[in-house]
Amino acid sequence: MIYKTILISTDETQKIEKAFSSENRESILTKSSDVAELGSPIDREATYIFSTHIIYSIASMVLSPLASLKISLYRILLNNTDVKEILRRYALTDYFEKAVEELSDYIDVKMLASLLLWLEDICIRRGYKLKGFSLIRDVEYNEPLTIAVYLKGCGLNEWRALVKDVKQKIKEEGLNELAEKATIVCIDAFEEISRGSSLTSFLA
Amino acid sequence: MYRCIRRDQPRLKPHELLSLIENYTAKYSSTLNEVMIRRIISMIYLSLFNYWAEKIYIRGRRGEDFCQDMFRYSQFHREMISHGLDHVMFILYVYRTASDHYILNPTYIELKDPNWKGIRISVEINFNVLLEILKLSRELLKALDEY
Repeated sequence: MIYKTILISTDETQKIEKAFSSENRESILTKSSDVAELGSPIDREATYIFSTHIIYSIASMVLSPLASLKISLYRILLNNTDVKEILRRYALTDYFEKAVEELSDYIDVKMLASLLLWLEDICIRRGYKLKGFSLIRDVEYNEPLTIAVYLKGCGLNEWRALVKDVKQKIKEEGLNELAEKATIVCIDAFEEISRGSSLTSFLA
Repeated sequence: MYRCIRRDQPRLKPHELLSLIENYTAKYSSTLNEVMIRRIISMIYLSLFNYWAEKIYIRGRRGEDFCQDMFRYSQFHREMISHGLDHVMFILYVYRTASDHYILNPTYIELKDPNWKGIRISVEINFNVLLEILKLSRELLKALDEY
């Protein structure tokens, strides 16, 4: 069985506890601890370990699907998580150390790692796959253009809807640098564009 | 003596240009060859880039060079994707790059930094793509009008 750990805030804890029926309860292992010094909006942190089929079918109905970017960042900061290990999972490079050093000059890598963790959760819920990320340099100015985070399994319309939600949430949470420097890319959309299959409504 | 004439009214609105291209492509699609499609895609991207740059200049932001009126694609890209236009900006950038810098058609583009591996994207410059670019340009133009 696959297990997934998520961290959620007090409000969401109450919501999720209400939502689970008694027969599901034994599938949940809970552990919580007080982290009052963190301050608002997360005054309590709870770790839930669910089997993924339960968390995604039930939790996605009661939690905002985009509720945990900052929580994911807090988790990295609080637990001194090895950011490099998270980046290594997704970085598309054969020269990891050099590439991450270069990346650190461009973006706060902790913020990027939190985005990757959070985005992977969203992708699982929506049926997409996070393939990895890489730094893109502008072909004319030879300067960093953006960090492309590549997803599979989404077409152009899904891409449009996803970035609207994701970027809005990132900005709401005050992580503007991340909103500006990370480009979410649904690679399957390019095939759709070449075929012209996304144009049906446009041409009608 | 050198002097820079500041601009406080927009003169680089691409609305008419886009309408002209849309009308032309609707009427004369069969006359468009690959050279024309490539030039149109490039023109669309740069006209939107100019419009954005002029808008921020008028608002008081300054760029580089003697008259501080030169801005970079990366700034354009960053500001637009922060508004949830990742799909528009990435697609326009990829096809504009293919149109201006790549010779084969179809081809593969692997945008990346030398220390990184990119994802190989299959890119074909054709009439359908042009229509898609026009559609996305309208999406970007709407955002720029409200910017």
